[in-house]
Amino acid sequence: MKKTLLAAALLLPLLTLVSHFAFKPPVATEQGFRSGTFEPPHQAPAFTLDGSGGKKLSLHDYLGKVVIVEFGYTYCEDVCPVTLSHLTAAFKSLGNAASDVQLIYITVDPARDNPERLREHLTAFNPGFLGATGAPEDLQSVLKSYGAVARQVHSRNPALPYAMDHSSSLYLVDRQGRLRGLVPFNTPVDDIVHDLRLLLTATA
Amino acid sequence: MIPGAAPAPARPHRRLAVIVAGLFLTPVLIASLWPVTFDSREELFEIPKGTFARHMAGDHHDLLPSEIDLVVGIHNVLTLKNSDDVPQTFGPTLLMPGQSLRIPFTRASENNFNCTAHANGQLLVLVEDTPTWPWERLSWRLRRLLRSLSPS
Repeated sequence: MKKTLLAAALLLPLLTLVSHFAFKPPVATEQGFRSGTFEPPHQAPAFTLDGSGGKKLSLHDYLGKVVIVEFGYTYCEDVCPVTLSHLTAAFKSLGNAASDVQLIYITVDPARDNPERLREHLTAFNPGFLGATGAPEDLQSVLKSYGAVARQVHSRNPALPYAMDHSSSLYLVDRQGRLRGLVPFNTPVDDIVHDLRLLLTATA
Repeated sequence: MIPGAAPAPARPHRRLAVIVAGLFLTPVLIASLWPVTFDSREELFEIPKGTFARHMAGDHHDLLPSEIDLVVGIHNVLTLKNSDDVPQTFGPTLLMPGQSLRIPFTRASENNFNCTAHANGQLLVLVEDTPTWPWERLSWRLRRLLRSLSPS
């Protein structure tokens, strides 16, 4: 009996180590997109809003470029600064290819985000980033067409009258204007760059 | 033992204890040491044709589970296919009829998605790290067993 217990006491740690190291699964790598992908891709919902550049801004104007659509607001204190910082880093990482990528940041807070405020806010991240605003009903329609949501909530910052709870994913639109990817919040910069490069090099 | 005396009878309670311990420990050992594997990295869920019509008719029975469990690296791709006749909201996006959305998850996370195919409008996608140590595998299997036994 004692011998059996001793053998078990010696065998168990050995089996533990063998099972841990011998059966460790290989790290899976994504061959295609690292973000969510739509199959088959459909045309991205169209919109025309007031651009931060002082003119009307339509998604259609950016056919031929890869477009990133983001919903947010300039007073956002948690989600938007992280996403905009990631995108700033992603654009830097793309180098010259970034000129073929356009970020369109659509506000979910038209009461406070006018074109001037959007321009000032976005320029601090990247002068090429564009903002869009409009009438609340127009913005609501755009949100709905993308399946995104936004609602006013109590702000934890006493200096702000309210905050907005909003969808935090990025929508990737290819050069043909098709909605191709959905990038969840806090996706690593490398993964964003990887997917943007795939869209930039895609032929059709 | 005294020479010439009859051998002591085997203690039946000890034998029984060994058998019971063996019956209990064998599955525990297997559940601890056997690696967690899946046939595919992909978990496919389909919103069946007629889901919207059934909801409109007052049938709020969920056809999809309210929680989907994934494991980083070995079973980490969620594919949702909309086979219904109308667009369905999944997470922050609309899925058109016939369209599917494939999302690979690369990190352990808890993801709450809006989903119009659910009566309560919510879907939880729980992504866990791959259990590689025996106690992790045992705990993972126990949690999975408990979840499968509990009514959803």
